[in-house]
Amino acid sequence: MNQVTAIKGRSLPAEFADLDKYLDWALPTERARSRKRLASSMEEIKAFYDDMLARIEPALDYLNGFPLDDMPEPQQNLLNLTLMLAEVANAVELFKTQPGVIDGFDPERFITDHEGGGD
Amino acid sequence: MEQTEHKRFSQKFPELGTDPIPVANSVSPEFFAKEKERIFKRSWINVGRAEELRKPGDYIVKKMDMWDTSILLVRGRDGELRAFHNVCQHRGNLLVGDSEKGNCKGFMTCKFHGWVYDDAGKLRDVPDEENFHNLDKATLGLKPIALDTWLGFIFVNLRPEQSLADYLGGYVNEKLNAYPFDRLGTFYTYAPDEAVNWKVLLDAQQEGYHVPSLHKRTLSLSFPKEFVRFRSQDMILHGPHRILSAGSNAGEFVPTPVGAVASKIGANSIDAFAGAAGGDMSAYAEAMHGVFDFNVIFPNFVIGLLYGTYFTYNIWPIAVNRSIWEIRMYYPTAHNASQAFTNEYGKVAFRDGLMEDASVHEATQRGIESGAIENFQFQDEEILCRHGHLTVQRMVNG
Repeated sequence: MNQVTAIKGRSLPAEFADLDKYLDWALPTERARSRKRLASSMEEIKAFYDDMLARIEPALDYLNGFPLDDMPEPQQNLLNLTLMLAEVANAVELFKTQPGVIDGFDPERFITDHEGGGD
Repeated sequence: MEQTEHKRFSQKFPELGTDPIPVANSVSPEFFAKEKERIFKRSWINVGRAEELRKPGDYIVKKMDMWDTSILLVRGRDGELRAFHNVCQHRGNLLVGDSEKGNCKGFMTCKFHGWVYDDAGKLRDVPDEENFHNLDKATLGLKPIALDTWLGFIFVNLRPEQSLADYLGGYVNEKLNAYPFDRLGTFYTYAPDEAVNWKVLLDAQQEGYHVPSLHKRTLSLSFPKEFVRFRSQDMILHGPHRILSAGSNAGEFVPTPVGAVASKIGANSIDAFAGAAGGDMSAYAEAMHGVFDFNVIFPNFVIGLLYGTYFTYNIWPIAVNRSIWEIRMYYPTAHNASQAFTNEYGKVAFRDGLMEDASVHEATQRGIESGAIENFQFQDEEILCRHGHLTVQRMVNG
């Protein structure tokens, strides 16, 4: 997938304007998404998680109509929101009392944005 | 094997014994220096996959601290993959130093005096050559290093004493050959630099005893509900190499809400650990012993096979108490948003589990350096740790 930073735009596709309040969560890299997760409160994470989970399947179905490596900005923002749901899933579903891994290794020393291979 | 039986593997491998194993070899700088000479410089070491160098001129620099050198992997214009010491034959400068990888377009130039080598390692041009004394360019190509591939994995050996096929031995004709690696062409990397001995790091990963405790909030979900004792399905030894295989929990596994969205699209690490990855997994099942096969290729390379995804670990020893844990997670290359999403879910869900693993590495190293503990006490499920330490001892001490 396209790891080139997508400029944080001002919009989502019109069909998903209900998620506009979460544009700050539409971040282009794993490192940025992890930092956002760790800097948020559980209340904020849960609100995003609930609203995004309700729209995830329609969002992915919609996005499957666009080329993954060349998405227009609003669609790229929506894609980044779906990836953000993947990032916060564990916080809500597993750890529950805090955003990050409980007693885990320092994420700043662990998380990179490296992707290789591809066909 | 009965899943609640005790001491199964010490009965299967009586030659490994049951004594405690001293911590000394994991804290001694002298022993580490011997490991470099007697193990790392004589073993076939994995340095990636052939697909990372597809086009003629593609190169990758690998810093090989345990070999005290830097190496260059290059795909020649003749299609051959070669390895060289990344050292200019003029006065020893690092030939390719400015970037880890790229395409050299046929030629590599040393920035010191402008000597030029081609993508087969031959010395092609020396500026002001006539001012040298009897310079024989034909003898001054880059110094080659033995390279061979197996199932697309690239191995190099500084001082080969046997072919890669002989080194792998029983692995070569094993089920592993049938695993569909080519379906899983994209990888994501993590590479934490940790204050831990390479063997201590590997030990933390090559047993399932820790799963119910350390991973109670994460990976335990992929295993049986009343899960307090981990029982491997099997363990297999091939000389210095070893495999741990875990059985299926597919009947009991329930994904989380986000996990369920991912699982509908494709396999991810979490459903795969449970053996619950959806779709036609027969190509994977036929190539594996269990639903999760943790393959250790001595000394420091792990191939962790699952249905629909796999991961590798290269544990790079830097010092007796410093290692880089290079983790790669391999997934089908995403061509649409759904696959990108399910890859991301698998990657970060597994990543969080690995951050639980890493959280004990440095503390364990400090603990064994403190003098507070003389021996590792290894139980039956930790027998691969025992096998690792005994193999290392044998190779170092002769």
